[in-house]
Amino acid sequence: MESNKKYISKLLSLYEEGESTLEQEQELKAYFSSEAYDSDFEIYAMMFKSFEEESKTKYQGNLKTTKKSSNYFWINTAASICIVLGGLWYFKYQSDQQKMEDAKIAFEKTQNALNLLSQNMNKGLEKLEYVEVFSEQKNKIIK
Amino acid sequence: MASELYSRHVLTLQDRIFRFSRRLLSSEAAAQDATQEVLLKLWKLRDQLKNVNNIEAYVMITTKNLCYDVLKSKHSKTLELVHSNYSREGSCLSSEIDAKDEASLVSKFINDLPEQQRAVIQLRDVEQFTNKEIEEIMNMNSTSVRVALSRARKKIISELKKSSDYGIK
Repeated sequence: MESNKKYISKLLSLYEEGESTLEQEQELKAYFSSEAYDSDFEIYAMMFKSFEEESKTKYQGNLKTTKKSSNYFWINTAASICIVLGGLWYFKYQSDQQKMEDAKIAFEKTQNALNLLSQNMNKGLEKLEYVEVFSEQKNKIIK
Repeated sequence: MASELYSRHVLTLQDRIFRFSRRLLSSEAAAQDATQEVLLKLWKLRDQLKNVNNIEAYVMITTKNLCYDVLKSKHSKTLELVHSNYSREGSCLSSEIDAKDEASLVSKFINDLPEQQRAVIQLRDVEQFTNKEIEEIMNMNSTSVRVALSRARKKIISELKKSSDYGIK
């Protein structure tokens, strides 16, 4: 016990001279927080306890972090809106494209049908030429 | 990337920034403002943080400079009474009332110290910075750090002895 006291007072004098290391100061801190310190050191105990207490005070204003998370919230919202709008636009574009394709096919089919019709008409016209020749000859004779 | 560095290193130091600025400015409200400002300042500089070797020391230097700026502008603008000026000699009564609370007594004696010693003892005994870091933060050499520390500690101890003697007599 006595040697311990001697050791502590040696540490304390180093401490007063500003020559103690952080480890030695930790030792002193531990010694004084144990409550079993020698009453001669009452004043030092007050000091170390007060340091200990002060080192536990916290900063209250936590505005910074909440602000940051709310920023993220808006970015997230904006991004999801963009994705939804983009999806809608793409869907609309796709269906428009589909309609165009359908119209094109219908157009081509009608064109084909009309071509067929006109070809057959031409065939019919060829036959009519005979009728023309016949009526010419008939006119020659009948006149 | 830079913001991650910021939240990992700077935001964990906010209690220390607050305590240090409270010690330098001796006012809770002013310290809260100063802490806010330091955090904001470092957020703006977050891209440069990766070039700093010792971020802790850098943060404390920023805090110190900002607090000194605040003190300077306070002095020049108004003749406001700083705490250490008036609660010194005359108000024995108030100091005796204070004396009930040991912690606030120690705190009061620290506040009565000169600015530099106050900062050094705060950094060393409360925040547990090494002498090397304190040299960097306070821009002092190793001898003057030790001397300031020793003077501050001796002064507080002698003040405490005095006040406890009052109690006995």
